[in-house]
Amino acid sequence: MNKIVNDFSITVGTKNGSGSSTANNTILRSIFKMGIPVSGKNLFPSNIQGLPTWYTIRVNKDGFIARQEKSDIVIAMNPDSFARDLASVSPGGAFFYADDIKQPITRVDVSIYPMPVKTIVRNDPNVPNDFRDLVGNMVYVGVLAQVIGIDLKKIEAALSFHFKGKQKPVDMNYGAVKAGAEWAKANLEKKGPLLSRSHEQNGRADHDRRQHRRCHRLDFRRRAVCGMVSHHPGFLARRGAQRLPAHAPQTRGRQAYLCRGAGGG
Amino acid sequence: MTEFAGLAYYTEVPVVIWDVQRIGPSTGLPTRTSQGDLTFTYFIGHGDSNSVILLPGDVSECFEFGWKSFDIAERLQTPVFVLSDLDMGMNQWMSKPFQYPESSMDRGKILWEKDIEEIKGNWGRYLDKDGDGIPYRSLPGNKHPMSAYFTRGTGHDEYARYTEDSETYLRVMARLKNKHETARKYMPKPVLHSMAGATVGILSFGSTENAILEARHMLAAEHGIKAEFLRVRALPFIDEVTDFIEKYEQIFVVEMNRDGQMNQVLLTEYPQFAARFKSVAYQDGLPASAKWVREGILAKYETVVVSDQKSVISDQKSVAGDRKAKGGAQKKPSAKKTASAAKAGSPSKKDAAKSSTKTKKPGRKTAVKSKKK
Repeated sequence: MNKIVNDFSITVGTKNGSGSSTANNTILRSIFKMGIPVSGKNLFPSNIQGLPTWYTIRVNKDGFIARQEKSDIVIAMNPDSFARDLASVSPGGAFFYADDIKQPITRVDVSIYPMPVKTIVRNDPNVPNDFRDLVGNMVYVGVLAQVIGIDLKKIEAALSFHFKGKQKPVDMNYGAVKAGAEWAKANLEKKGPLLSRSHEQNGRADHDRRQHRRCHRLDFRRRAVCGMVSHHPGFLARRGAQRLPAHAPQTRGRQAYLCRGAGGG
Repeated sequence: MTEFAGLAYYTEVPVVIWDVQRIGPSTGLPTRTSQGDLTFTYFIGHGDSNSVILLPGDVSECFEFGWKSFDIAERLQTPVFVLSDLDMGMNQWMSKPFQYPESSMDRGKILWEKDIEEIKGNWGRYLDKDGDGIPYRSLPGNKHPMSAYFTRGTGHDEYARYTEDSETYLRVMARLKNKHETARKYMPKPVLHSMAGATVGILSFGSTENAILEARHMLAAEHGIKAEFLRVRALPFIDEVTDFIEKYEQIFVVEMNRDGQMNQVLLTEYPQFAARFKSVAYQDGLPASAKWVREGILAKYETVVVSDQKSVISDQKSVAGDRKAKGGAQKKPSAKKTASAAKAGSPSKKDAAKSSTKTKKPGRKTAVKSKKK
């Protein structure tokens, strides 16, 4: 099992003006509220609506929060930058994408996580039609939180901070976060060999059979457990050590990137 | 901007100018960060001028320099530039809660009604009474009839009277230079990140600190290179910067611009240490990463091998000096040693003087430099 705890970079690729800023800030703030050193950096074209935009979050237990020239976790929400986003994932990393983007998956060395963002938002009666695109960004927050172990309570606190305590937008956005997390918990746990499923869904049957078998063996060896405990001595000392919770969801992939706090923040 | 900055410098009007540096031109690229305005700002003005520049390294320092810059500007009666950058201006940083100042505002040398009465109204707006280059001024609201003065942008004497007299101009410019020397007393000290056993120095400013701290960790862990790191927080330089430069034979100057602008300023201010500075400059519009800092340093790092042989570098100087003194009677250094010395760079006159003294001691440790692959 190759666990990488509190030491990775997340990049979110969206369209400029799509309202992803709140979602990205929520991820950043919730990780920070878990007591983990973090920084967030924007990369966007001048205010030209619709062009690709990226937001990078550096998570590092030792406090090294400068920009990294790699992305361990990439979330692709923009069809226009999909191929570039997929290519940017570090080998062994994780790639999340909105499953309404119908483009080929060309990587076999990363874990693939399609997310039914539009379906989840459409099925939420609390989200008005004209808010679906904006609130939809919160779905990837929930899926990511479930997979890498971001504390949902911290996400709710981050949303409350962002919306200055206004309960209605907090509820609407947090509802989408929870829906995303619940979907990920139900589906990613039950479906087991996620990468294989993703390959089939995305036409990966054409790759070399030997390579395919090798990938699967690797995946099974590296089956990982996600959880929420800080291994950083400083945090352990300040906030009290915890162990991995028994209910921690299982995922599979080349590497498991985990966010672990200790209830502080 | 240059015209007005020059006017404020010569008329000695306190003003604070914030520059959140970014690359350009036009639109699009200016959403990317940079440290490319340093030399432009340092030399801005009409001809001979010297700028006071504050260089915050994180958002809490941006807050701190927000009020401190006004104190310094009023104390020195000169423009103060604060060079932030877009990495601090646009991105999310962790920060300690901002600290509000505990001291009251510093308005500098102000004459109030009673002060002017004591000197019977005999004061000059550009007159240096204290020898520090900073004159006195009055503020609007002062009701003394002699409190008013003329802020003159044209050539003027100590009493703000128009003049084109050469001697007066020389006096004014010398006083302004003296004021720049005085400015060093009010500059925030640099931030020093020590490391036990450090053999080289890293010098930088602004938002590159996080990347350098990580790169420094990598260099020590993976390459055995231990570096002390100084983050400069203001220009003009102060004694702490000089002390740091004097400590190390190799000082890597890390910055986010194409031409190594901080390195240029260091070469200007410390020509005697020119051979020590190694510019690690890079500019692609993205915030600094530990990877490029590390690779930039490794590309210019020279391994120092300590041996008991006679010094190659300083011997060359001392031999040359002795030969001159004794009419060329000394033995010429070997070609191999000369080549090594040339590769290592020429030491300064000050270093040479030190070396000459040291060569009298037999069996001292010496340094031979070679490029690390």
